[in-house]
Amino acid sequence: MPRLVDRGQKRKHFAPSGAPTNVDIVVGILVLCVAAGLALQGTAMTIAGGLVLLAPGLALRRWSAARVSEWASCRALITSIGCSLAIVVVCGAIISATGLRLSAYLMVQALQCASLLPALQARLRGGGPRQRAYVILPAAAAISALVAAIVHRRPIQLGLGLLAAVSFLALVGNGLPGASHGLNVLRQRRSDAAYIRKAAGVALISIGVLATVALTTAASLVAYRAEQGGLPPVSPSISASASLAANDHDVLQEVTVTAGSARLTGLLVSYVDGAPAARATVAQRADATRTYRLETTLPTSLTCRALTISDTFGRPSDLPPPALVLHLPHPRHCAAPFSLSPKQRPS
Amino acid sequence: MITNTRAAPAPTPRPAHVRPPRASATARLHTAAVASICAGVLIGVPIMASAYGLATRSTATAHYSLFWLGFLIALAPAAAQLLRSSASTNDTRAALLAITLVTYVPKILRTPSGPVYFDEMIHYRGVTDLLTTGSAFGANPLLPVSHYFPGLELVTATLHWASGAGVWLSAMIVIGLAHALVLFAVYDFAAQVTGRGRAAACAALLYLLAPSVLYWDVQFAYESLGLAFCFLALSRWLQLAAGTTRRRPAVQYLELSLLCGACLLTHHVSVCVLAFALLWATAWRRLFPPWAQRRPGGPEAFAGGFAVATALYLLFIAKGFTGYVGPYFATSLADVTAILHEFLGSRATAVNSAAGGTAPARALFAHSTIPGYEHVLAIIAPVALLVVCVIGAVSLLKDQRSRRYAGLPLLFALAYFGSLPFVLTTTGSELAHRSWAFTFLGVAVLGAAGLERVLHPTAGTAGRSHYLRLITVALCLCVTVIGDTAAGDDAGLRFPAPYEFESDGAYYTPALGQLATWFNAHAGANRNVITDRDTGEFLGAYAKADPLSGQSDGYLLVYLSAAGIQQLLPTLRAYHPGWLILDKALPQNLQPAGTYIFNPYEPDINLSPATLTRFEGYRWANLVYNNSRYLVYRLFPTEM
Repeated sequence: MPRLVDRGQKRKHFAPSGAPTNVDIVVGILVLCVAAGLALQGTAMTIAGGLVLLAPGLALRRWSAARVSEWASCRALITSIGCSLAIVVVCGAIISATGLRLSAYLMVQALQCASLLPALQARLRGGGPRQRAYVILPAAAAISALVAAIVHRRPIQLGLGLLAAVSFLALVGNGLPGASHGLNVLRQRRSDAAYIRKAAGVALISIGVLATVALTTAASLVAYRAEQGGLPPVSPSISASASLAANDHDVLQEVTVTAGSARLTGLLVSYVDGAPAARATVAQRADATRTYRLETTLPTSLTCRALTISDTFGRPSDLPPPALVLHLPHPRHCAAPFSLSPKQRPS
Repeated sequence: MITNTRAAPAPTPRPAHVRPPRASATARLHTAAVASICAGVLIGVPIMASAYGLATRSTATAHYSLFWLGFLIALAPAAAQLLRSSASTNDTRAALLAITLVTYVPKILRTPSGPVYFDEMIHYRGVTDLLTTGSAFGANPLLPVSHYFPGLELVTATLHWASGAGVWLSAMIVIGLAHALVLFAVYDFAAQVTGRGRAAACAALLYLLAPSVLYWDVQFAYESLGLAFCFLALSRWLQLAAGTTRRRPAVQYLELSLLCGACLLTHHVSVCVLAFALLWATAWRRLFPPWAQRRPGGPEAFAGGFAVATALYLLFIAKGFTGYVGPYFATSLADVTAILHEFLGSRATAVNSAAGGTAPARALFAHSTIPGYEHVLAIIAPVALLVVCVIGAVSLLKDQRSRRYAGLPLLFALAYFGSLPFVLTTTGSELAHRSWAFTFLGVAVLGAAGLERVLHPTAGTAGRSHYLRLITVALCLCVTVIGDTAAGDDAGLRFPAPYEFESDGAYYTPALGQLATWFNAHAGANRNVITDRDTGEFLGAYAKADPLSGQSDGYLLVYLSAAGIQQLLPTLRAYHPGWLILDKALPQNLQPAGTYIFNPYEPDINLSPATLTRFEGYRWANLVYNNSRYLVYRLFPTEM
């Protein structure tokens, strides 16, 4: 039966020094599995996101288990997850209400703030003054980074660095005692299964904590640089002439760019009002001229409107693409049956 | 000979009458409990999946029975653990997790790859717009009021950004998380009210029997997340007001503020329910005063402040809210009043709505394809729940401790049973169905107290009939879950169903998918489209079209004669319509007038295939697409 009090029940099998329980081991394995699984998708953001989402559970189990009753810790975990979601909602709404454009960087930062909440709760609930400082500092850093981003209308590297550094200290500060406990266990060469499991759990959790910090920091940096236009490489805009080649069957197949970027690997052909038409990839390359072949050929009767060509491939989607507006040289094709112009007949 | 080897002490034989140590017995029981829960899930879930496979090719109702078989197999061990008096907290937690999973599986099986329900289309479009524009408060053409409540879109987009998962996968994760939070919040709320873990577990189990919990309440819509915030906030407030924790008030108020704020930014009805419930609980607290001694006025002040903040937000920021929700309430009340008047006065079957039109009384399960036994159980279930709730209410009110916290469950349960007559009206039915997710919290808590009373009566009455009561309760639970699901969710929501006009979840056809692909490739995003509701919602989500159905009377074009069209054109031109998309099946599925049409025009022709192609004769319309099901006209407003 769950207990309705939060304190006063110190469970004996929770070692006060921070040795993990079976639940911690399961959480640690889960962290690593999720990290490995998400890593297959290949982006740092993916790994970091998965770990950040697991951080509340990990942190809470790690820090509150020795102090609260079983149901109270479960209830606190639920509340923490709910509050983490609430922080994302409130932060996102505030950012958007200030007129800032929401981006991956900002919202991952909000999520990072949210992930620190359980730590804050756990520390405020039971820790001494030094332990409270451990958690208040990263929380304050996270919040200051967010506030700075809002006030200055752009993320600040300093806030990010501060956040990463203090988060690292706080998280590892809790991970290291556990790790040292595990090392002690190994040093004693205890052979009973319980201690081996605890040592393994300690190792997993330490790795999970370190990976969380490192990857969230790396992901934030990647997102930050991408938002600033530094990563991934953005090609120069297409500033020279281009032409669209239509063959005899009135099908648009190729786009030729005479002074494109050396790193431009693809084009997005779209109508001038933004509607996508087709993608094009490099077919031929000469010194200053490249020919891009459309992945989907277009009937020229449908391309009677002006086209926009942009180097969308490889660019962050939230950046406005440089564009070159072209006009098809075949106005005679703009006729029925698929005309996009009004008919010239009386109603 | 002396050796250094120390002989191991011989084990002391245990007398036969001595019972084994309690710890090992508990461990064995725990292992058995977890094993049975896992076995139930592993056996039941594949059966449920096969039911969905069968539903795609079955014309009968066998898949319903197969589904219930799998569902009950998956649910039974976990439910047994929750009802077991000696279940440990670990067992209870494992059972709750299993139940959360089992009750989310049907939704995953129903919509594995993309949004299917109408409301899901709206919010899926909201997320994709947020990802594109970076603005949380951008207008949503599919539901104008939804952009004032962007909580769901924000969480989903953040998860998408942070994890790299697809939009729909992120959506399913968010909703799954919200579903789990709701269940645990119900458990926590009931634990606060009853003070007993077993009753709390029963309440969580009973909440799973709510009419819409398997499909409607776990759809990708803002009420699914708003519900979680609402229940969590209620539970936190109750804990704060009851003073059952020694945590710092500042942290508790911070948590509560976050949850309430998120609820305000997520769903309008959820926040209204939350604000009203807090005020009600405050009043109840005054009626039964010995609550917390340590912080007498704080929770009341918080409730009052939050109610004011909610009212200000809804009246001055989310200005479309009253116009959106108001007519539902007004029409529903008018219809129910008319039905009661008819019942008392023996009038004709048609009910004159006070709103001005004629609102026919709604026939229960009209045109429904669900099995007959579900019809019967849907009628029995509320009766069974009422009996259990009355027992539970009496039990709670008799108990001096529980009586102090029983105000909220009583209010919600009364609202649930009071909403049942509304299902007899067209508009009121919609309203009642949407309210049950909230009001069933009261039914769950009172019902849990009643079930506990039945299963574990006071000393002197317990004994030989225990197993009989247990079987009766189990049967009642089966009846309730089947009956409530039948009452709460349409056939199209539950299984892949044959095409049905205007039926949520059953309007998809392959031709519609082709149309969306074509439109996405050749028209592009944010094009103003005049079309019917089904097509508009689908194109809005999958092709980012902007249907004008809810904003203009454009679709009236279809029903008007040439003179009527000429009269309508000046009005229509103001909306800059770019495309007119007509469903060739419209003549067979004539849309009832008044659904989307809010102006004095009345249909003045009979629809036929020829009336759909007549627009080719107008200079401002050009037929550009024609597949097996749809006609697409390109419109030129300047020529109108």
